[in-house]
Amino acid sequence: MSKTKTSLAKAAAKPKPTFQPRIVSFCCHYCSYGAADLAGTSKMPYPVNVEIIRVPCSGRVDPLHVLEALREGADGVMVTGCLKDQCHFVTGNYHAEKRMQKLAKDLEDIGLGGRLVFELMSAGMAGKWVETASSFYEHIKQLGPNPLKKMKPEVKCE
Amino acid sequence: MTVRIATMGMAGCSGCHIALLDTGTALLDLLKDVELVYSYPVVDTKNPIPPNIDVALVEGSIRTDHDQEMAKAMRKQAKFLIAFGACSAHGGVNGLANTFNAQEGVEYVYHKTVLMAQKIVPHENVPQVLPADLRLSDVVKVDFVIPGCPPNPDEIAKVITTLLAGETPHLSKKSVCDECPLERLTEIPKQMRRIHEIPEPGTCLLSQGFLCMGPATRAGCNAECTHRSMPCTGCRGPAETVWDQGIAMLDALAAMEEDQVANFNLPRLAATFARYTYASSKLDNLRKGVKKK
Repeated sequence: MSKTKTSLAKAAAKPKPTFQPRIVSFCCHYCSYGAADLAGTSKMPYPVNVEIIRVPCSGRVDPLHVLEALREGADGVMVTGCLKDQCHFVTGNYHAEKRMQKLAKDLEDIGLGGRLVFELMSAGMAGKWVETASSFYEHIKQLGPNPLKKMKPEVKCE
Repeated sequence: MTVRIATMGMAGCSGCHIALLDTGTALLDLLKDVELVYSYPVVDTKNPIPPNIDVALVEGSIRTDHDQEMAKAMRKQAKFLIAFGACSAHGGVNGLANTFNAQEGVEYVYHKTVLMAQKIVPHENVPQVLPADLRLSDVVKVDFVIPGCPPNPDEIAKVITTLLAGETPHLSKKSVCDECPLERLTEIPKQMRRIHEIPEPGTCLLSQGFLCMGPATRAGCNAECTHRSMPCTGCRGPAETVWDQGIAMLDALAAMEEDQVANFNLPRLAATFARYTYASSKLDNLRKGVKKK
Protein backbone atom coordinates (compact mmCIF):
# COMPACT_ATOMS: atom_id res chain seq x y z
CA MET A 1 0.00 0.00 0.00
CA SER A 2 2.74 2.38 1.04
CA LYS A 3 4.61 1.49 -2.13
CA THR A 4 1.72 2.57 -4.33
CA LYS A 5 1.37 5.75 -2.34
CA THR A 6 5.00 6.70 -2.85
CA SER A 7 4.85 5.91 -6.56
CA LEU A 8 1.67 7.95 -6.85
CA ALA A 9 3.35 10.82 -5.04
CA LYS A 10 6.31 10.54 -7.41
CA ALA A 11 4.01 10.63 -10.41
CA ALA A 12 2.31 13.73 -9.04
CA ALA A 13 5.63 15.45 -8.41
CA LYS A 14 6.93 14.74 -11.90
CA PRO A 15 4.35 15.94 -14.40
CA LYS A 16 4.35 14.01 -17.65
CA PRO A 17 6.23 16.06 -20.24
CA THR A 18 3.73 17.45 -22.73
CA PHE A 19 4.15 16.39 -26.32
CA GLN A 20 6.04 18.98 -28.33
CA PRO A 21 5.70 18.23 -32.04
CA ARG A 22 8.69 18.77 -34.29
CA ILE A 23 7.64 20.14 -37.62
CA VAL A 24 9.85 20.41 -40.68
CA SER A 25 8.83 23.17 -43.05
CA PHE A 26 10.17 23.38 -46.59
CA CYS A 27 9.96 27.03 -47.67
CA CYS A 28 10.66 28.29 -51.17
CA HIS A 29 13.25 31.04 -51.38
CA TYR A 30 11.16 33.59 -53.24
CA CYS A 31 7.79 33.56 -51.45
CA SER A 32 7.11 31.51 -48.36
CA TYR A 33 10.60 31.98 -46.92
CA GLY A 34 10.02 35.71 -47.39
CA ALA A 35 6.69 35.35 -45.60
CA ALA A 36 8.35 33.54 -42.69
CA ASP A 37 11.07 36.21 -42.64
CA LEU A 38 8.48 38.96 -42.56
CA ALA A 39 6.65 37.20 -39.74
CA GLY A 40 9.92 37.18 -37.83
CA THR A 41 10.79 40.83 -38.42
CA SER A 42 7.26 41.98 -37.61
CA LYS A 43 7.48 39.94 -34.37
CA MET A 44 4.46 37.77 -35.05
CA PRO A 45 4.61 34.75 -32.73
CA TYR A 46 4.53 31.23 -34.18
CA PRO A 47 5.52 27.85 -32.65
CA VAL A 48 9.28 27.55 -32.15
CA ASN A 49 9.23 23.87 -33.09
CA VAL A 50 8.57 24.66 -36.73
CA GLU A 51 11.99 24.22 -38.31
CA ILE A 52 12.46 25.93 -41.64
CA ILE A 53 14.48 24.47 -44.50
CA ARG A 54 14.94 26.90 -47.36
CA VAL A 55 14.74 25.42 -50.86
CA PRO A 56 15.13 27.29 -54.18
CA CYS A 57 11.57 26.44 -55.20
CA SER A 58 8.76 24.27 -53.86
CA GLY A 59 9.18 22.23 -57.04
CA ARG A 60 12.57 21.17 -55.65
CA VAL A 61 10.91 19.27 -52.81
CA ASP A 62 11.03 15.63 -53.79
CA PRO A 63 8.48 13.29 -52.15
CA LEU A 64 11.59 11.45 -50.92
CA HIS A 65 12.52 14.50 -48.83
CA VAL A 66 9.14 14.32 -47.10
CA LEU A 67 9.40 10.56 -46.52
CA GLU A 68 12.94 10.91 -45.22
CA ALA A 69 11.90 13.69 -42.82
CA LEU A 70 9.12 11.46 -41.45
CA ARG A 71 11.47 8.51 -41.16
CA GLU A 72 13.98 10.60 -39.20
CA GLY A 73 11.22 11.42 -36.70
CA ALA A 74 9.56 14.67 -37.79
CA ASP A 75 5.96 14.73 -36.52
CA GLY A 76 4.72 16.79 -39.42
CA VAL A 77 5.97 18.18 -42.70
CA MET A 78 4.91 21.49 -44.23
CA VAL A 79 5.62 22.30 -47.85
CA THR A 80 4.96 25.90 -48.79
CA GLY A 81 5.33 27.63 -52.12
CA CYS A 82 4.40 30.75 -54.08
CA LEU A 83 0.86 31.65 -55.07
CA LYS A 84 -0.35 30.11 -58.32
CA ASP A 85 1.03 31.80 -61.45
CA GLN A 86 3.49 33.73 -59.26
CA CYS A 87 6.22 31.11 -59.02
CA HIS A 88 9.67 32.49 -59.78
CA PHE A 89 10.32 29.39 -61.88
CA VAL A 90 6.85 29.57 -63.53
CA THR A 91 5.55 26.05 -62.82
CA GLY A 92 7.41 24.81 -59.72
CA ASN A 93 4.49 25.24 -57.35
CA TYR A 94 2.12 23.40 -59.71
CA HIS A 95 4.49 20.45 -59.79
CA ALA A 96 4.88 20.48 -56.02
CA GLU A 97 1.13 20.60 -55.46
CA LYS A 98 0.51 17.54 -57.61
CA ARG A 99 3.30 15.57 -55.95
CA MET A 100 2.18 16.41 -52.44
CA GLN A 101 -1.50 15.69 -53.14
CA LYS A 102 -0.61 12.25 -54.44
CA LEU A 103 1.85 11.58 -51.64
CA ALA A 104 -0.67 12.63 -48.96
CA LYS A 105 -3.03 9.87 -50.17
CA ASP A 106 -0.31 7.24 -49.97
CA LEU A 107 0.79 8.41 -46.54
CA GLU A 108 -2.79 7.87 -45.39
CA ASP A 109 -2.61 4.28 -46.66
CA ILE A 110 0.51 3.48 -44.66
CA GLY A 111 -0.84 5.07 -41.48
CA LEU A 112 0.78 8.50 -41.55
CA GLY A 113 -2.26 10.45 -42.73
CA GLY A 114 -2.57 14.15 -41.88
CA ARG A 115 1.14 14.66 -41.33
CA LEU A 116 1.74 16.54 -44.56
CA VAL A 117 0.36 19.95 -45.43
CA PHE A 118 0.80 21.99 -48.61
CA GLU A 119 0.09 25.73 -48.67
CA LEU A 120 0.65 28.56 -51.11
CA MET A 121 1.45 32.11 -50.05
CA SER A 122 3.23 35.23 -51.32
CA ALA A 123 6.22 36.90 -49.66
CA GLY A 124 3.92 39.48 -48.05
CA MET A 125 1.54 37.00 -46.48
CA ALA A 126 3.24 36.70 -43.10
CA GLY A 127 -0.18 36.36 -41.46
CA LYS A 128 -1.03 33.33 -43.51
CA TRP A 129 2.34 31.74 -42.75
CA VAL A 130 1.81 32.20 -39.01
CA GLU A 131 -1.74 30.92 -39.21
CA THR A 132 -0.71 27.84 -41.24
CA ALA A 133 2.19 27.02 -38.93
CA SER A 134 0.15 27.44 -35.73
CA SER A 135 -2.90 25.54 -36.94
CA PHE A 136 -0.74 22.69 -38.26
CA TYR A 137 1.13 22.64 -34.95
CA GLU A 138 -2.15 22.31 -33.06
CA HIS A 139 -3.35 19.63 -35.48
CA ILE A 140 -0.19 17.55 -34.98
CA LYS A 141 -0.49 18.01 -31.21
CA GLN A 142 -3.95 16.44 -31.44
CA LEU A 143 -2.67 13.68 -33.73
CA GLY A 144 0.12 12.60 -31.37
CA PRO A 145 3.77 11.76 -31.97
CA ASN A 146 5.08 10.18 -35.15
CA PRO A 147 4.93 6.36 -34.83
CA LEU A 148 8.22 6.13 -36.73
CA LYS A 149 10.25 7.86 -34.04
CA LYS A 150 13.50 6.08 -33.21
CA MET A 151 13.25 3.88 -36.29
CA LYS A 152 16.51 2.18 -37.11
CA PRO A 153 18.51 3.66 -39.97
CA GLU A 154 17.82 1.98 -43.27
CA VAL A 155 20.34 -0.73 -44.13
CA LYS A 156 21.26 -1.08 -47.75
CA CYS A 157 21.98 -4.70 -48.59
CA GLU A 158 22.43 -4.49 -52.34
CA MET B 1 37.41 -27.98 -63.20
CA THR B 2 33.65 -27.77 -63.55
CA VAL B 3 31.73 -24.99 -61.91
CA ARG B 4 28.96 -26.10 -59.57
CA ILE B 5 25.74 -24.19 -60.12
CA ALA B 6 22.52 -24.39 -58.13
CA THR B 7 19.14 -22.80 -58.75
CA MET B 8 16.37 -22.42 -56.21
CA GLY B 9 12.77 -21.21 -56.36
CA MET B 10 10.82 -19.54 -53.57
CA ALA B 11 7.65 -17.43 -53.80
CA GLY B 12 7.61 -16.97 -57.55
CA CYS B 13 6.15 -18.34 -60.76
CA SER B 14 9.27 -20.23 -61.97
CA GLY B 15 9.27 -17.92 -64.98
CA CYS B 16 12.91 -17.12 -64.28
CA HIS B 17 13.78 -20.81 -64.66
CA ILE B 18 11.99 -20.74 -68.01
CA ALA B 19 14.08 -17.70 -68.93
CA LEU B 20 17.19 -19.71 -68.02
CA LEU B 21 16.07 -22.41 -70.47
CA ASP B 22 15.31 -19.68 -72.98
CA THR B 23 19.03 -18.87 -73.23
CA GLY B 24 18.88 -21.58 -75.92
CA THR B 25 22.14 -22.54 -77.57
CA ALA B 26 24.09 -20.42 -75.08
CA LEU B 27 22.88 -22.82 -72.38
CA LEU B 28 24.35 -25.78 -74.29
CA ASP B 29 27.71 -24.03 -74.44
CA LEU B 30 27.49 -23.26 -70.74
CA LEU B 31 26.66 -26.84 -69.77
CA LYS B 32 30.09 -28.00 -71.01
CA ASP B 33 31.78 -26.24 -68.08
CA VAL B 34 28.91 -26.29 -65.62
CA GLU B 35 27.51 -28.93 -63.31
CA LEU B 36 23.95 -28.36 -62.14
CA VAL B 37 24.00 -29.77 -58.62
CA TYR B 38 20.72 -28.51 -57.19
CA SER B 39 17.73 -27.30 -59.17
CA TYR B 40 14.11 -28.25 -58.67
CA PRO B 41 13.20 -28.85 -62.33
CA VAL B 42 15.91 -31.51 -62.71
CA VAL B 43 17.22 -32.65 -59.31
CA ASP B 44 15.37 -34.10 -56.31
CA THR B 45 15.34 -31.06 -54.03
CA LYS B 46 14.10 -32.94 -50.96
CA ASN B 47 17.77 -33.77 -50.35
CA PRO B 48 19.74 -31.16 -48.43
CA ILE B 49 21.57 -28.50 -50.41
CA PRO B 50 24.98 -29.91 -51.47
CA PRO B 51 28.12 -28.08 -50.26
CA ASN B 52 30.64 -26.03 -52.27
CA ILE B 53 28.27 -24.35 -54.70
CA ASP B 54 30.08 -21.77 -56.82
CA VAL B 55 27.11 -19.85 -58.19
CA ALA B 56 23.56 -19.96 -56.83
CA LEU B 57 20.62 -18.41 -58.68
CA VAL B 58 17.74 -17.78 -56.29
CA GLU B 59 14.35 -17.00 -57.77
CA GLY B 60 11.31 -15.63 -55.97
CA SER B 61 10.63 -13.51 -52.92
CA ILE B 62 10.49 -14.69 -49.31
CA ARG B 63 6.91 -15.26 -48.20
CA THR B 64 7.04 -18.11 -45.64
CA ASP B 65 9.43 -19.15 -42.88
CA HIS B 66 10.42 -22.14 -45.04
CA ASP B 67 11.61 -19.76 -47.75
CA GLN B 68 13.60 -17.88 -45.15
CA GLU B 69 15.34 -21.05 -43.90
CA MET B 70 16.09 -22.19 -47.46
CA ALA B 71 17.61 -18.83 -48.34
CA LYS B 72 19.87 -18.96 -45.29
CA ALA B 73 20.85 -22.58 -46.04
CA MET B 74 21.70 -21.66 -49.62
CA ARG B 75 23.77 -18.69 -48.46
CA LYS B 76 25.86 -21.03 -46.27
CA GLN B 77 26.77 -23.29 -49.20
CA ALA B 78 27.05 -20.77 -52.02
CA LYS B 79 30.15 -18.70 -52.76
CA PHE B 80 28.32 -16.32 -55.09
CA LEU B 81 24.61 -15.76 -54.52
CA ILE B 82 22.57 -14.12 -57.26
CA ALA B 83 19.09 -12.67 -56.72
CA PHE B 84 17.46 -13.94 -59.87
CA GLY B 85 14.48 -12.03 -61.25
CA ALA B 86 12.30 -9.16 -60.06
CA CYS B 87 10.76 -10.98 -57.06
CA SER B 88 14.10 -11.89 -55.61
CA ALA B 89 15.74 -8.58 -56.46
CA HIS B 90 13.04 -6.05 -55.49
CA GLY B 91 10.11 -8.01 -54.05
CA GLY B 92 8.26 -8.30 -57.35
CA VAL B 93 4.53 -8.33 -57.89
CA ASN B 94 4.24 -10.40 -54.68
CA GLY B 95 5.43 -7.30 -52.85
CA LEU B 96 2.11 -5.59 -53.52
CA ALA B 97 0.66 -7.96 -50.89
CA ASN B 98 2.37 -5.69 -48.38
CA THR B 99 -0.39 -3.14 -48.92
CA PHE B 100 -2.69 -5.59 -47.08
CA ASN B 101 -2.50 -7.34 -43.73
CA ALA B 102 -1.01 -10.84 -44.19
CA GLN B 103 -2.97 -12.46 -41.36
CA GLU B 104 -6.27 -11.08 -42.67
CA GLY B 105 -5.39 -12.52 -46.07
CA VAL B 106 -4.75 -16.00 -44.65
CA GLU B 107 -8.02 -15.87 -42.70
CA TYR B 108 -9.91 -14.76 -45.78
CA VAL B 109 -8.59 -17.71 -47.78
CA TYR B 110 -9.32 -20.35 -45.14
CA HIS B 111 -12.53 -18.98 -43.62
CA LYS B 112 -14.42 -17.13 -46.30
CA THR B 113 -13.72 -18.90 -49.58
CA VAL B 114 -16.29 -21.53 -50.57
CA LEU B 115 -13.87 -24.42 -51.15
CA MET B 116 -12.56 -24.42 -47.60
CA ALA B 117 -15.29 -26.40 -45.83
CA GLN B 118 -13.42 -27.00 -42.59
CA LYS B 119 -12.55 -23.37 -41.96
CA ILE B 120 -9.27 -24.21 -40.19
CA VAL B 121 -6.04 -22.39 -40.86
CA PRO B 122 -3.44 -25.18 -41.22
CA HIS B 123 -0.62 -24.86 -38.73
CA GLU B 124 0.97 -28.32 -38.50
CA ASN B 125 3.67 -29.45 -40.97
CA VAL B 126 3.13 -26.43 -43.19
CA PRO B 127 5.31 -23.33 -43.43
CA GLN B 128 3.84 -20.24 -41.83
CA VAL B 129 3.20 -17.06 -43.78
CA LEU B 130 5.47 -14.16 -42.82
CA PRO B 131 3.85 -10.82 -41.92
CA ALA B 132 5.44 -9.17 -44.97
CA ASP B 133 6.81 -10.18 -48.34
CA LEU B 134 10.61 -9.81 -48.30
CA ARG B 135 13.18 -9.60 -51.06
CA LEU B 136 16.23 -11.83 -50.84
CA SER B 137 18.58 -9.09 -49.65
CA ASP B 138 16.35 -8.47 -46.59
CA VAL B 139 17.31 -11.92 -45.29
CA VAL B 140 20.80 -12.76 -46.59
CA LYS B 141 23.70 -10.96 -48.24
CA VAL B 142 23.33 -10.93 -52.01
CA ASP B 143 26.37 -10.73 -54.27
CA PHE B 144 24.68 -9.80 -57.52
CA VAL B 145 21.25 -9.01 -58.89
CA ILE B 146 19.78 -10.04 -62.24
CA PRO B 147 16.58 -7.99 -62.42
CA GLY B 148 13.65 -8.40 -64.80
CA CYS B 149 10.33 -10.18 -64.96
CA PRO B 150 11.42 -12.48 -66.49
CA PRO B 151 15.17 -11.71 -66.77
CA ASN B 152 16.56 -11.21 -70.25
CA PRO B 153 18.04 -14.58 -71.46
CA ASP B 154 20.98 -12.82 -73.13
CA GLU B 155 21.81 -11.13 -69.86
CA ILE B 156 21.63 -14.39 -67.89
CA ALA B 157 24.05 -16.05 -70.32
CA LYS B 158 26.33 -13.00 -70.22
CA VAL B 159 26.44 -12.90 -66.43
CA ILE B 160 27.19 -16.62 -66.10
CA THR B 161 29.90 -16.59 -68.78
CA THR B 162 31.48 -13.52 -67.13
CA LEU B 163 31.51 -15.36 -63.82
CA LEU B 164 33.02 -18.47 -65.44
CA ALA B 165 35.81 -16.31 -66.84
CA GLY B 166 36.51 -15.13 -63.30
CA GLU B 167 35.41 -11.54 -63.83
CA THR B 168 32.80 -9.42 -62.08
CA PRO B 169 29.57 -8.90 -64.03
CA HIS B 170 27.99 -5.45 -64.36
CA LEU B 171 24.46 -4.25 -64.97
CA SER B 172 23.62 -1.42 -67.33
CA LYS B 173 23.66 1.98 -65.62
CA LYS B 174 21.33 3.67 -68.11
CA SER B 175 17.56 3.88 -68.15
CA VAL B 176 15.22 2.14 -70.62
CA CYS B 177 14.73 5.44 -72.50
CA ASP B 178 18.43 5.41 -73.44
CA GLU B 179 17.94 2.12 -75.29
CA CYS B 180 14.46 2.84 -76.64
CA PRO B 181 14.40 3.52 -80.41
CA LEU B 182 11.08 5.44 -80.37
CA GLU B 183 11.17 9.09 -81.40
CA ARG B 184 10.37 11.66 -78.77
CA LEU B 185 7.95 14.48 -79.58
CA THR B 186 8.50 18.03 -78.44
CA GLU B 187 4.84 18.73 -77.68
CA ILE B 188 3.35 17.50 -74.43
CA PRO B 189 0.23 15.32 -74.51
CA LYS B 190 -3.03 17.05 -73.60
CA GLN B 191 -4.37 14.03 -71.75
CA MET B 192 -3.26 10.61 -70.64
CA ARG B 193 -4.54 7.57 -72.56
CA ARG B 194 -5.11 3.88 -71.87
CA ILE B 195 -3.32 1.19 -73.86
CA HIS B 196 -6.45 0.06 -75.75
CA GLU B 197 -6.41 3.43 -77.53
CA ILE B 198 -3.77 1.97 -79.89
CA PRO B 199 -0.51 3.97 -79.82
CA GLU B 200 1.09 5.29 -82.99
CA PRO B 201 4.13 3.15 -83.87
CA GLY B 202 7.58 4.75 -83.88
CA THR B 203 6.70 7.57 -81.47
CA CYS B 204 7.54 7.84 -77.77
CA LEU B 205 4.70 6.37 -75.71
CA LEU B 206 5.03 8.90 -72.91
CA SER B 207 4.82 11.76 -75.45
CA GLN B 208 1.59 10.21 -76.73
CA GLY B 209 0.18 10.08 -73.21
CA PHE B 210 0.60 6.40 -72.36
CA LEU B 211 2.07 5.70 -68.94
CA CYS B 212 5.51 4.23 -69.65
CA MET B 213 7.86 3.57 -66.75
CA GLY B 214 10.94 3.79 -69.00
CA PRO B 215 12.55 6.92 -67.51
CA ALA B 216 12.85 5.39 -64.02
CA THR B 217 13.70 1.83 -65.04
CA ARG B 218 17.09 0.19 -65.47
CA ALA B 219 18.17 -0.57 -69.02
CA GLY B 220 19.57 -3.88 -70.24
CA CYS B 221 16.43 -5.36 -71.79
CA ASN B 222 17.04 -3.67 -75.20
CA ALA B 223 13.65 -1.94 -74.72
CA GLU B 224 11.88 -5.09 -75.93
CA CYS B 225 8.44 -3.90 -74.85
CA THR B 226 8.53 -0.29 -75.93
CA HIS B 227 9.75 -0.83 -79.46
CA ARG B 228 6.73 -3.10 -79.92
CA SER B 229 4.58 -0.16 -78.72
CA MET B 230 3.89 -1.73 -75.34
CA PRO B 231 4.54 0.66 -72.44
CA CYS B 232 7.27 -0.28 -69.96
CA THR B 233 5.93 -1.50 -66.61
CA GLY B 234 9.25 -1.14 -64.83
CA CYS B 235 10.08 -4.81 -64.21
CA ARG B 236 13.83 -4.19 -64.10
CA GLY B 237 13.61 -2.03 -61.01
CA PRO B 238 15.04 1.44 -60.41
CA ALA B 239 17.80 2.78 -62.69
CA GLU B 240 21.29 3.32 -61.25
CA THR B 241 20.73 6.91 -60.09
CA VAL B 242 17.12 6.41 -58.95
CA TRP B 243 16.47 5.78 -55.25
CA ASP B 244 12.84 4.81 -55.42
CA GLN B 245 11.26 3.90 -58.73
CA GLY B 246 7.68 4.83 -57.85
CA ILE B 247 8.55 8.21 -56.38
CA ALA B 248 10.89 9.03 -59.26
CA MET B 249 8.10 8.29 -61.72
CA LEU B 250 5.65 10.45 -59.76
CA ASP B 251 8.21 13.25 -59.87
CA ALA B 252 8.63 12.92 -63.61
CA LEU B 253 4.93 12.73 -64.34
CA ALA B 254 4.07 15.69 -62.10
CA ALA B 255 6.52 17.81 -64.08
CA MET B 256 4.91 16.97 -67.43
CA GLU B 257 1.63 18.77 -67.81
CA GLU B 258 -0.88 20.59 -65.66
CA ASP B 259 -3.17 17.76 -64.66
CA GLN B 260 -1.34 14.67 -65.82
CA VAL B 261 -1.30 12.97 -62.44
CA ALA B 262 -4.95 13.78 -61.80
CA ASN B 263 -5.84 12.40 -65.24
CA PHE B 264 -4.65 9.00 -64.16
CA ASN B 265 -6.86 9.08 -61.11
CA LEU B 266 -4.90 6.26 -59.49
CA PRO B 267 -6.09 5.24 -56.05
CA ARG B 268 -2.49 4.74 -54.90
CA LEU B 269 1.04 4.94 -56.26
CA ALA B 270 1.93 1.33 -55.50
CA ALA B 271 0.13 -0.73 -58.13
CA THR B 272 1.29 1.27 -61.13
CA PHE B 273 4.42 3.17 -60.19
CA ALA B 274 5.99 0.56 -57.92
CA ARG B 275 4.49 -2.60 -59.38
CA TYR B 276 7.68 -4.65 -59.04
CA THR B 277 9.47 -2.68 -56.34
CA TYR B 278 6.87 -2.04 -53.62
CA ALA B 279 8.51 -4.44 -51.14
CA SER B 280 11.77 -2.48 -51.42
CA SER B 281 10.25 1.02 -51.70
CA LYS B 282 10.53 3.84 -49.20
CA LEU B 283 6.78 3.79 -48.60
CA ASP B 284 6.86 0.13 -47.58
CA ASN B 285 9.87 0.80 -45.38
CA LEU B 286 7.86 3.45 -43.49
CA ARG B 287 4.75 1.22 -43.41
CA LYS B 288 6.73 -1.51 -41.62
CA GLY B 289 7.90 1.06 -39.07
CA VAL B 290 4.35 2.28 -38.42
CA LYS B 291 3.06 -1.26 -38.01
CA LYS B 292 5.64 -2.25 -35.41
CA LYS B 293 4.25 0.24 -32.89
